[in-house]
Parts: sequence; C-alpha cells; structure tokens
Amino acid sequence: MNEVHPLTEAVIAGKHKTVPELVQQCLAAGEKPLEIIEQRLVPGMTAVGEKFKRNEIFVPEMLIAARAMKEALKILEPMLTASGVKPEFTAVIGTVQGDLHDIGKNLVGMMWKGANITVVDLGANVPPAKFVEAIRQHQPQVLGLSALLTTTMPMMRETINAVRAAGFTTKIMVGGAPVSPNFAKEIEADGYSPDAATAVDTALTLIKS
Amino acid sequence: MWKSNWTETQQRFVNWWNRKGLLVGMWGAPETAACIHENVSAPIKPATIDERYTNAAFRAAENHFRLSRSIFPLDVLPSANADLGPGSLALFLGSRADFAEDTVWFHPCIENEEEPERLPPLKFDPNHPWWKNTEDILRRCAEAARGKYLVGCPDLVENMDVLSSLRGAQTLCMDMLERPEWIEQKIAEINQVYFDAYDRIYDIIKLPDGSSAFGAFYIWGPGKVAKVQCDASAMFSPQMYRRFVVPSLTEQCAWLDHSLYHLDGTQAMHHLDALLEIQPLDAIEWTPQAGIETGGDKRWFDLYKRILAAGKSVQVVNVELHEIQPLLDTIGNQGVYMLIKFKDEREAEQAQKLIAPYRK
Repeated sequence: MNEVHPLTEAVIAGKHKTVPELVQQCLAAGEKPLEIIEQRLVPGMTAVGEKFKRNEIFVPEMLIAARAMKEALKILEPMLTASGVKPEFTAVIGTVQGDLHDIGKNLVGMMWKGANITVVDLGANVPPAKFVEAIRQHQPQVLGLSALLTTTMPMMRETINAVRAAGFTTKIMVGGAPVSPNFAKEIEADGYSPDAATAVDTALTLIKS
Repeated sequence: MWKSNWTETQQRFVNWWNRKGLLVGMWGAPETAACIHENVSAPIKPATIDERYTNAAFRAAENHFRLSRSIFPLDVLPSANADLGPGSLALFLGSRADFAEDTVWFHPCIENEEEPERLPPLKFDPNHPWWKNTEDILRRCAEAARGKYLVGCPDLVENMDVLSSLRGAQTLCMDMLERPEWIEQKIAEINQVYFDAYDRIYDIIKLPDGSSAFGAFYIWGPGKVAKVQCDASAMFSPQMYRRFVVPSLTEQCAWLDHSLYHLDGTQAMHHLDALLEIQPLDAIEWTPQAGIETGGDKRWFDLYKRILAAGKSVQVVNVELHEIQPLLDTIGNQGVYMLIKFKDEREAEQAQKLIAPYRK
C-alpha cells in the first residue's frame, strides 16, 4: 500500500492550520505548485469524496477538508498565476434566483476546486441574466445550477433557457435535494449530480463528452 | 366549534397518540366559495409581503375569513395559522427575517463570531420585538377563534435548526468538529428558550380543557402538543445526531405532553434508529423530498411498519385516494394518521367511503 503524503493526509483530516507549513515544505523540497495541486491536494479531495460517497464522513468533515485545501491554494494559486499556468477547465456555479441556500453549492464548488478546476462562484439567489453574463465573461466548460426548494426548481429551467437563448452551448448540470435525474432531463440539463462528491465525476464526464 | 364532528375527532386524536386507531386530515381545509359558518368580509390585503406576515389584525382577519368558508370533514382540523415562518424561535434570538411569498428566510446573526464562546447565553426576552409580534398575532387570532376554531402553535422549531439559523449552516457544521462543547451548551439554552416561549404561547392558545393544537402538520392533543424536528441532521453523522440532538430532543419530548417528529428526506433517514429509541417521542412523520415517491407510495410501507413496530404512531403525508387501501392493508389501521389533499367535499366523501372498512 502506498504511503499517503502528509499534505494529502492533512487535507483529508481538515487540518487547515498545518497545511500552509506542509505546502512550504513541499515547495522547499523542489516540488512545483502544479505538482503539489495535482499530486497532493487532488488525491486528498478525491479521497474525501470517496469517503463521503461511502457514508464514512458527512458534510462537516467534507467542509473542513475543503477549508484545508483552500489554505493550500491561497499559497499556490498566486504562484501559478505568476508563472502563467492556468487550470485546464473553468466552471461557473450558483444557486438559482429566489433560493438563498448555498451549502450544497459551496460543497460542489470546493470539490471542483479540489479537482483543479477554476471555479467562478456567483453565490445564491442568482438571476438568469447574471449566469449568462458570467458565461460570456469566463467561457466555462461547465455551468452548475443549484436549488433546494421545489418552488425555485422552475428557475433552473428559466436559467437554462436564458443560457441557450443567448447562444451558449456550455454543459449545464443541476443538483440540490429536490432535484431528480428525471427533472434534469425534463428541463434539458446536460447532467445531474446527487451530491458534491459525484459532482466532480459528472463535470469531468460532461467536459470530455 | 365550526367542526360538527369535533368530539369524535378529539377522541381519535387521543387514540392516535396512544398508538391506536386511524386519523384522516389534510394540510389546511377545503375552502368553499361562500361563508358557511359566519358572514365574514374579506380583509384588505396589506401592500407589502412583510405586513402580510406581521400585521396581527390582518393575520387574525385572514384566518377568520378563510375558516368561515372552509369545511372540516373527517379529522380535518379547523386551525388558524399564526406562523412567522418555520423556525421563528430564531427570530427571538437575533436572526433576521426575510419574508417571501412562499417562504421565510432566516439570516444568521453570529456567523462571523470567531470566538462564539464569548457571547452571552441565549435567553428568552419577553420584550423582544419579534416575540411581541408573535404574541400579538396569537392573541388576536385566539380572540377571534374563541369557541369556533383552534389556533395552532407557531412552528418555532428547535435544537440544531435554530442554531443553524443563528450561526449559518456551514459555520455550524465546522463548529460541530471544532467546538462541540459550545454547541451542546447552546442547544441546552435553545431548549430553555423554547420552553419559555412555548409556555407563553400555550397560555394564549389552549382550549378551556387545557388541550392545544400545533399549526404545522395539523396536530391536536390534550395538554402541550408539538411537532419537533432537526432538518439539519441530513448533513451530519448518526454519532453526531446522538451527541448533539438526541439529549435535547428527549428532554423536549418529555416536557411536551405529545410530540410528533418530522423526518425530512432520505438523507435524514439514517437517524431513524436513534429516533425510535427516544422513549417520550410519540409519533413520527415522514416527508420524502421532492422528485421521489410521495408519502403514500409503497416504497415507504416498510418504514411505516418499522415505526409502528417500535411502538410509535405514524403520520403519512400527501396520500392519494388510490393509495389509501394498499397503505392500510399493509401497515394496518392502528396509530396511523393520513394527511390527504381533498379538493372539495366530494373527495372527502370518497375518502370517507374508502376508510370506512378500516374504522370498524
């Protein structure tokens, strides 16, 4: 069995205070920022996602892991930007208009970041026009729409219609407690994810399809 | 009482709390086009959404008008709704409300506190403006209701759901790992605030015989009655549920005379074992999330059987008329409360015929 790197281990355990020091140690050992992300952080968040799928951990544990990863990215992202390295993929995410729930959306965003995708988070209660504008500006490969209320689910349809009417073919995936695969199909979303852990696989599959 | 079979319905509720018999109600009551019980003019709707929730005179008049035109067949309760949204206890503790047409948002007030341990204990303040508003609505509703209908206790909500409204769901999740003792302390304080608020509410809404109703999920019973819940539990582990929720919930159920737990969504279902162990909890209601089979579907029959086998009554929501027979044939007719959406009296009569064999 392969030994887990201390940085990967710290991300999985959500040790946000020790992560910066471990990142510095990796850098001092000559590891490149992109290598640290791809070989230390991504495996950490992947392991977290797998544990979540197996009900070994729940939302609190996932949140602290994501926060630990964020601490590492705070150091590494400016270095990548300075050297002109950009993540391969970009995603825009938001909770649709009328809905202020954001925890599920935040978790998906964090998991995407953990998979080395640039995430533009528009927040909650986002009108369709704002999604369209963000697609125009950031040219993402994936758009993630979240809703936690049956009353705001129709706004997913309106958002998808607005994006398509503006001429964008960006892959759109939807999720949130009341959202089902059937509903996703009905509103012509390209993908559906039942939880944040699965959202990474769904997004990558959509991007590569 | 504007319900002709009120005596029978009362007896059926008493039986149901004792794990016996069959109750058939609905969320609300079928409305008719004419005033049936009393000639009441429609109240003038306030201009703003906020006022539609908070204007006590309007709330009382709106309930009185609606109930004067409603029918209450089977065990449908004539109940005035005095809610300021589900979870209004958080308002008494500093959360900010944002009223929308079909929901109320509660915004956190201590989300950014880095050391929440330094905050003063949560206490009920009888002079808090949101409590005063709640009290005003309840008093006006009770005044109009006297002898005609019930006034349901508002959906205060409790434990982690209230703390989540104060602290923010995401911050609270991290607190569960980083400051568990603080959470235990706050949950204990929230329970006390709940008891202080409920006592005052009960004094306003109780019937002369000491019985009372709870608005959400349409329950009535002798003494103090409430629906209890922890929707936030969908996010955390069974171990955390047992640590942070079960002790306060047990205390709350013991304090109340009758309690119904609202179990919301498949992600909360892994707490069922812990719930069934709460001895003073009388009944469990199951709400499947949108997009999957509704309450009367056969998918949930085993769940209902499990609840009943554990010695608790069950409430089955959103039952369709065609589901009544298979449901009752499978789970039995003892300790079962079905909420059915009747469009009119004719549908209520249909339901009456369908359940008749199960009430013999």
